Amino acid sequence: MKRCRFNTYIDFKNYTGLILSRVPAKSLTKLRTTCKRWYALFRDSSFVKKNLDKATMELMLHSNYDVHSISVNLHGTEDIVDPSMEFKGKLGRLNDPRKLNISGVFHCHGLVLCSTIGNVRLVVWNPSTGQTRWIKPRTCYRYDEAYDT
Amino acid sequence: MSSNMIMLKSSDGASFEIEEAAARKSKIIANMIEVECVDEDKAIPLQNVTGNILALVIEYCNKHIVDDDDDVATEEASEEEEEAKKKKVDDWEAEFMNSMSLETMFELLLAANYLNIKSLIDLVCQTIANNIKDKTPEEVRKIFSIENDFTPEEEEEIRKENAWAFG
Repeated sequence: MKRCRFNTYIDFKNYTGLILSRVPAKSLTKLRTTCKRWYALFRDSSFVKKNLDKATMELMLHSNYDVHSISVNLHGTEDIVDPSMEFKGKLGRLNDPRKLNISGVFHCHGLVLCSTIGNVRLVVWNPSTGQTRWIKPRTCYRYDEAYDT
Repeated sequence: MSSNMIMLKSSDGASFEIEEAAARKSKIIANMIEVECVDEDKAIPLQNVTGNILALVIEYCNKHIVDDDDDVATEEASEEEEEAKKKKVDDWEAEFMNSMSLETMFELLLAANYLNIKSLIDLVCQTIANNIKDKTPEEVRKIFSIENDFTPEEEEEIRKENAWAFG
C-alpha cells in the first residue's frame, strides 16, 4: 500500500478519534497495542463514552457458573441493520482454556466484580476497556451485603 | 430550487462550477454566501483542496442536494418508497467510497473537514473504520504510518492486563 500523508497533518484527537470511535469495541481491544497514543486513547473516558454511544447494548447473563454476553440492538444500526439479539460469547481467560466457574457477579460504577466458586479468587473487570485485576485475599473472603450495591 | 451557479477553485488551480444549493452543503461556503463575500464573477479559492479531491466533494454534494429536494417534494411518500430511496442513497454511497483508495479517503476526509460537510465526514470515517476493524495492529500501523513505540515486554504486559474477554 502507498504510504499515506495522513498522519503528517492529522490532529490526532480530531481525526483518528473520529474514525476509531466508529470501530467496534471488540476490534479496539485487539488494536490497543498499535502504539502508546492509541492505547491511551482507548482508555480515555470521553473516547470510551463516544464509542459506547454508537455500540449496541450488551447484556451479561450469568448461569451455570458461566457469564455470557448478549448483544441487543433494538433500533438496528442507523436503520440499516434490523433489530437483533444474539449471543456474542462466553467470558473466558485468554491463553487459558480452563473454566472460570464464576459464582457471583456484582457491578458498581461500570465495573464488574466476579467471585469464583468457593470464593477462592475475586476479580474486578472493566468490560469497556477489557482490563482485569485480581484481588488477592489476605486471609479469606466472606460474603457481605456490601457487594450488592 | 435556486439555479445560481458559483465557481470553486482548487489549490492546484482547477475551476469547478457548482449549483449554489449543492455548494451550501459545505458550511464554510454557505457562510461565505451568507455574509456576501462571494463575488459572482470570481471563483472561491479553496487553498487546502486539490482538484481531484474537490471533484469528488462536488460529486457527493450534487448527489445529495438532489436527495434533499426529493425529501421535500415527497413528504407524503409511503414508508416503502422512503426505504427504497434510502437504499438507493446507501448503494450510491457504498459505490462512491468503494471506488477510492484509502489514501484518497484520507484526503477526502481532510477536505470534508476543511469545508465542514458533516455527512461526508461521517461517511468517510465510517468507511475507514470498516476498513480497519478486522486488521491486525501491524497492518493498522502501516495504514496510519504509526511507529510501534511499545517494547515487546510492554506489549506482553498489556495483553496480560486484558486477561478476560468474551470469546
